[in-house]
Amino acid sequence: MLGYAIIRIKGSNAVRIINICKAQGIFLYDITRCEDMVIIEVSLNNIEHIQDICSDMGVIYDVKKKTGIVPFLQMHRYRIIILLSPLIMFMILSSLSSHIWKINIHDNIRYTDEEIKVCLENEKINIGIEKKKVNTKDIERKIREEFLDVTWVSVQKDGSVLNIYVKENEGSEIVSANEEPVDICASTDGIVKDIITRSGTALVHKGDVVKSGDVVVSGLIELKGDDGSVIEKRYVHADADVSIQYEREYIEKISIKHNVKVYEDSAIHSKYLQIGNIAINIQKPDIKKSGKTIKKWFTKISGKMKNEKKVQNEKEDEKEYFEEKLTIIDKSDFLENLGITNQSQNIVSNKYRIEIQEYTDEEGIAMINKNISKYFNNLSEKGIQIVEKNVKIYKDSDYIYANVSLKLLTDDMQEQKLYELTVNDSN
Amino acid sequence: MTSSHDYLMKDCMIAITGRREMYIENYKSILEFGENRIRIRTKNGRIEVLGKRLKIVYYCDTDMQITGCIDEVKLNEVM
Repeated sequence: MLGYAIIRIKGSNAVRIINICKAQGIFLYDITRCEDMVIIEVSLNNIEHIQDICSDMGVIYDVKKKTGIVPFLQMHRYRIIILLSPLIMFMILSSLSSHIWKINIHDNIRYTDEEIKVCLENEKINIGIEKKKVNTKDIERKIREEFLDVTWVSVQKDGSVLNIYVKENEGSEIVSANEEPVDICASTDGIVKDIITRSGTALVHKGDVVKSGDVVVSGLIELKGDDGSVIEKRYVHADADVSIQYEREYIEKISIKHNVKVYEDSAIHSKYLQIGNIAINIQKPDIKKSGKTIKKWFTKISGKMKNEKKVQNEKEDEKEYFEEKLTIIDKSDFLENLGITNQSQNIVSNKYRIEIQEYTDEEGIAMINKNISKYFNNLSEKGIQIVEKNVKIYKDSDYIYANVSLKLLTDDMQEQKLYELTVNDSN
Repeated sequence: MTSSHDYLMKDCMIAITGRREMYIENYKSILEFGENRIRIRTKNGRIEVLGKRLKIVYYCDTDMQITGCIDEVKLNEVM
C-alpha cells in the first residue's frame, strides 16, 4: 500500500534468505533469478528485516529501487509546495466557489442595475459575500418593498453568480419629484410661434410679441364659478412647449493678411518609444537645430502631443521656428494595463519661418464661410433652429466681412418659481 | 482447493494452469531457485519444476505461485 522496494541479492545464499523470510513471516513477491543474482520485491515495512538478515549472513545486497507513495514523498520532500499545490488549489477553488462573484440583473427597464445594486448593498449583499449568507427570499422581499413598480422578482444562486430576474409594472409612470409651482418665462424677445400647454395657464397666444422674462405660461390656475368670480386658486408646475421666433444679426470678419508657416525641406524623421511622459529615441539621436547637431535621446511629451520650440535665427530680423510633431505609429497594450503609456512614435523635426500672405477672394470667402458654419453649428448644439438666413459678404482693403441676418426659433424657456406669488396671495 | 484430508495430512497439492502458472500448497521450503529450475521441499518429498524464465510470483506460509514456461514437473519421494 505505502510502497515496496526491489532488492538484488548476490550469491548462492539467496535461497536460504528466502526460506528465512518465509519462516519469519516476511512475504516476498516477484522472485526472479538473473544470472547470479536473485531479485525480490518486499514491502517497505520489511525492508529493514531483510537488510538485517542479509548482513547477518554476509550476503551482498543492494536496494535497486523504491516505489510507492512514501518513497515519492521522501524524494520530493524539498518540493513540498508542488506536492501540496493540488491540495491548495482544491482549497482555493472550494473557497472561491463558496462566494458570490457576480450579480446579474435581468429584465429591468425602469430601474437601473445600479439602483438595484445599491439596494442590495444596503442589505449587505456585495460581490464576494458567502453564498450561505445570501437569503434569496429576503432579497426578493426587499426589492419588492424598495421598488414599488417591481411586480415580480426572482433571485437565484447559479454557482458563483447571483441572478436577479425582475418584472416591472409597465402601465404606471414614475412621478416626477419636482412638482414645485413654477411659471414659464420667455428667454428672449420675439414672437410666439407655437404654444402647447400641458399644465398651467397660457398667458400668450400664437403670434403675440413677448419680451425676455415675460411669463408665457403661469403656474397659477384659477377656478371660476358661474358668475365669473374666482372660487379657488391652485398652483402647479407649469409645463408647456413654447416656440419663440426672434431675429439676430452679427458680423463676421477676417483679416485679409494672415501668417503662413513655410516649411523647409530638411525635415528629420526619428522614431521614439514613449514610456510614460518620456519619449526615448530609438533611431536617430541627432537633430539639427540652427545648423548645429544636437544629440537628443529623450524628449518630454507635452499634453497636446505637440511640441513647438522657438529658436532665434542669427539672420537679421527674420525669425526661424522649430517644430516637432509627434505621430503615433504603434501602440501596445502590454504596459497600458499597468498605467504606463507604451507606444512607438514618429517625431518629425521641421524648421519653418512665418510669412505674411494675403487671402485671394475665393480663399477669403471659403474661410469666412467656414467661420459662419461654425457659428451655425454652435446654434444647433444649443437647440436653436435657423428658420431663415441671409449672408452678405463684402471686403475693404484690410478685412473681409460677412453680414449675417438670421431668423431663429427657440423652445428653450426659463422657469420662475411661484414662491413669492403664493406668499403674496396668502397675505 | 484444500480438502480436510489433505490439510490434516499436510499433503502437497499442485495445480498447473497450462504451461504458464502453477500453484503449490503445503510446501516446506525452497531448496533451489534458478531461472530454469526450482526445487521445493514438501512433507513427503521434493518437487522439481523445470522450465524457462521461472519466477516465484508470491509465497506465503502454505502456498506459492510459480510462473514462466513450465516444461516438466518431477515429484521425488524422500527415502
